Amino acid sequence: MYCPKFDQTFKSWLEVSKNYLAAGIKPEEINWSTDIPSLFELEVPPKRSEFKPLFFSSEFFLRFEKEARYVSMIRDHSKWGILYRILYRLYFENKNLLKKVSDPDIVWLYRQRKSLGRDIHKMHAFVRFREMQDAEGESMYVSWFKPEHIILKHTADFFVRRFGDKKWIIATPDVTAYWDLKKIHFSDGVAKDPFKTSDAWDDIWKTYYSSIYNKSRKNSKAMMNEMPKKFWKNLPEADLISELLKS
Amino acid sequence: MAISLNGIKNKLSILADAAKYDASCSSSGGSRKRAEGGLGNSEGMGICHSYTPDGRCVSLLKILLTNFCIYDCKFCVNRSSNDIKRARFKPEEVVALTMELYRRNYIEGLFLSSGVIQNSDYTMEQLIKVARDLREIHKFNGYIHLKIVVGASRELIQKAGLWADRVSANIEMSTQEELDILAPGKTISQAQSAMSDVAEKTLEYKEDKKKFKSTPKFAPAGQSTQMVVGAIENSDKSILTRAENLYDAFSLRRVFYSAYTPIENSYGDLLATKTPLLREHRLYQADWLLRFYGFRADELTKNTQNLSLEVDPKVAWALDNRSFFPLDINKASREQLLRVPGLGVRSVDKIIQLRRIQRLWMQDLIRMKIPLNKAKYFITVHDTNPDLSFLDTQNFDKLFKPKEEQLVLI
Repeated sequence: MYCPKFDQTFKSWLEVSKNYLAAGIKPEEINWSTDIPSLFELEVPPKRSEFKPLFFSSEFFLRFEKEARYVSMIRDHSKWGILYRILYRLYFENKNLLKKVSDPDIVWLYRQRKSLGRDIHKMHAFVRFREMQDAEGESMYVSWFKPEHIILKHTADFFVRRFGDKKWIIATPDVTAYWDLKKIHFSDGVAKDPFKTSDAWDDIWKTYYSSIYNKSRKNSKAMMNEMPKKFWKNLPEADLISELLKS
Repeated sequence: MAISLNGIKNKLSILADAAKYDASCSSSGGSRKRAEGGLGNSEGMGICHSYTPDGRCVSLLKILLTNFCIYDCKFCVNRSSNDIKRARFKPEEVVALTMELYRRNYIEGLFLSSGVIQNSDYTMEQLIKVARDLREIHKFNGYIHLKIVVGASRELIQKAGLWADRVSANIEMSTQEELDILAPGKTISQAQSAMSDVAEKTLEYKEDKKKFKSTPKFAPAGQSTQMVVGAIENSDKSILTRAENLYDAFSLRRVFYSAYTPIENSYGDLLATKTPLLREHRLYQADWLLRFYGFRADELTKNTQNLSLEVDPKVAWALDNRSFFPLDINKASREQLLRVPGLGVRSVDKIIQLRRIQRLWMQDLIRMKIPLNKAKYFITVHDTNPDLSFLDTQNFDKLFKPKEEQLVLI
């Protein structure tokens, strides 16, 4: 069993995987898990003579690389093994594998993509900024959010494009992003909301939320589908829901 | 900012409450980059920032500038004869609300409508002023939807389209007879003339854009409208036919349907019962079939004035047109496959993608998670499909009809 040493980033996974592929190592011969220490760490064998490195600049590979880079943001650790299996099959079995949308590995790939798309969309939607003053007394906007997958490095650009005229911080359990008006700085994550601050406009928002609700059309099931409880701790208006449902 | 939060709050509770009968909350289709030193952008995909317990998306700050109104439309909560609290925002209050809520990522932007005060032009000017202040003074590039006050001059409609991402003039009813009873002073032709102005300007700016790159966009997210359903006897046939005409004639992006809810002090002309939300739902389903599935309104209401409440409009059409089926998944055209009950646009596209490289077996459909609970009765695959045998049986309809008690619950 091969136990690759890599730092859990897509970049290092890809580097390792390219070497394994060139050596023709089968997916079932690799253990991508980090928690099981292996007694026999096998050296990667040399490239097989019939391997064609040109593959790595083919459109088949480049499309795979793009999909895999995106899907590598999912939290599930088994992703590294499945992505390697897809890469292996792409080279040895079928260059058009990604088009076989009923293949179980490809079904998996696109399902992860969909799950990520939803997670990213919900993060764009449910991050809520509160205003506070920074050390120089300037306004800055802070937020804490817990996404399902590891997506802040991907979503931070969205918040720059939209809110780049003011400083802001978005903290997540995995990583924290700080925008200083010029550049995004990434640092360690924080497990819980570190900002002990409230914002006067939250109250205005709650007024809006309860006024725009049309009680003659009560449909809490539809609400729960789109805004499940796991998001509620982020949303000041969630405090109002049970009261509104009673009215 | 010299604005009292408490003052804003009181007005907001009145003017958001008054705005909730406008069904649209869509924020898609915009495309603006953030201005240097400014706030906000719009990237095309709408975002719902919250959901209220009625299951509706909260995407925009949807408010009226004022709920004072010179009109006395019987179905409308803001009609002049209704004894309700009235309020009016100052433009700077709407600007502050929009900017501050947007800044905290509560909204995609503003949907500003209004009761009509003084006259159409005056009211339209007030709405335009808010949008212009947001764009010009505050460099706000989030989404703006402006209501076109029917009857406003062509010049003002043009201005509105330049500041807004989307504009909408409400047609309110599907026929003039209904308007005459419920909305004295309003006409279908006036509403359509506003839509026609918007459509014309959109084309004009598009043509200019080809010649001069600096031509600004005109209402890049298009125009929409709304019809009230069930305030008076009106058939789905008439509603869908009107909607289809509007889509065809003015390239509308959306027609919204708003189920009428009886408001206190209702008039004798109005139906006293609440329009079932299921009827509204069926209209939206049919509307979807018009826009994305190649159906025509007269196909969907061929043998009936109203859509079936029991089954969705696509199933209803399929049951009336059984000879159209079965369709061969491996050979049928995209247009044909879109008519299979249960198959959505995405499913059809997946099927077409895969069949370019192989023949499709039932197992392929299952693995791709194509929803088959309805579709399985209408299709053939490369291997055998045992469920196909039901298609020619006498009680085929019954497979799709809900049990009595389920209907009541909806």
